[in-house]
Amino acid sequence: MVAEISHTLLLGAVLFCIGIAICITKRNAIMFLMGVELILNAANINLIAFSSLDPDHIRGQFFSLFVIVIAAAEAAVALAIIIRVYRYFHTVRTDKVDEMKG
Amino acid sequence: MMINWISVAFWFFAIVAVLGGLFVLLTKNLIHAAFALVITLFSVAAIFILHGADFLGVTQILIYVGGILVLLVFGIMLTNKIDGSTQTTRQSNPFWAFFIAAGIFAVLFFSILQVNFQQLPWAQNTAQKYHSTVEKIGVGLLSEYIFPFEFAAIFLLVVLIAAIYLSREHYHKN
Repeated sequence: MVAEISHTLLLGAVLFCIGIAICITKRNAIMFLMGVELILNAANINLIAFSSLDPDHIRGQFFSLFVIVIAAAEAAVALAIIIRVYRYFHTVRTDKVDEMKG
Repeated sequence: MMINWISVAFWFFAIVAVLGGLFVLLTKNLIHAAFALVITLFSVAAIFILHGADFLGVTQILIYVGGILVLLVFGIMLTNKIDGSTQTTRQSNPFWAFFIAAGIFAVLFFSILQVNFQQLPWAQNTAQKYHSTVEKIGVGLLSEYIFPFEFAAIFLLVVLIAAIYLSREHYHKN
């Protein structure tokens, strides 16, 4: 056992909360993406922590692998959308892009 | 007294990861935030390896640091102003962010400390040697987890086409 599992879970909780705070405070769409990456990493840390309790040591790692796949896909599509938005509005500030505001 | 160097390494990388995340949260410079995120992602990869997930640690470095971070830095550069000024971002609602993040963290903190994870029915308490997970992952991906594996393949193809379609120039036909 590397560390108590609760310590690893607490590390995941800290990274998750930092990611939430980044998503709330930042007004740049790319900083928002960085916060989402931190949240997904926190989820991966939790999966790995429980995987180290698993008799096979392996089942959580598969889920973590698929989370990484989803994260890569999310970053690619989100950056494509951000570049479109930049070409159209000439800014990526999320509080300036409010043309469809009701 | 014998120092448990693996625990020391765990705490070192955990503290570095949290400091990198806090730097991303507090800095206004986008490029500095991207490089602090590199430090955090490397530390998370080290924590994966310390927990016996060696393949996943290498995958983390390859995909996050080698792929996603490069994409983010390209995104920062492509959305930069022409005049060459450093790109900064403004903080907004810091109080709401602090309250929501601190509230979620308090809930998680107390609930994690109250649960005894060693009592889980499937948990194995005995310390055991870690073996390489590459073979297990390779066999598992092509047998037990074949459906999510194939789904991820098609999903990545769809995402590739969608990203190219979204980011290309649209020429208007006259």
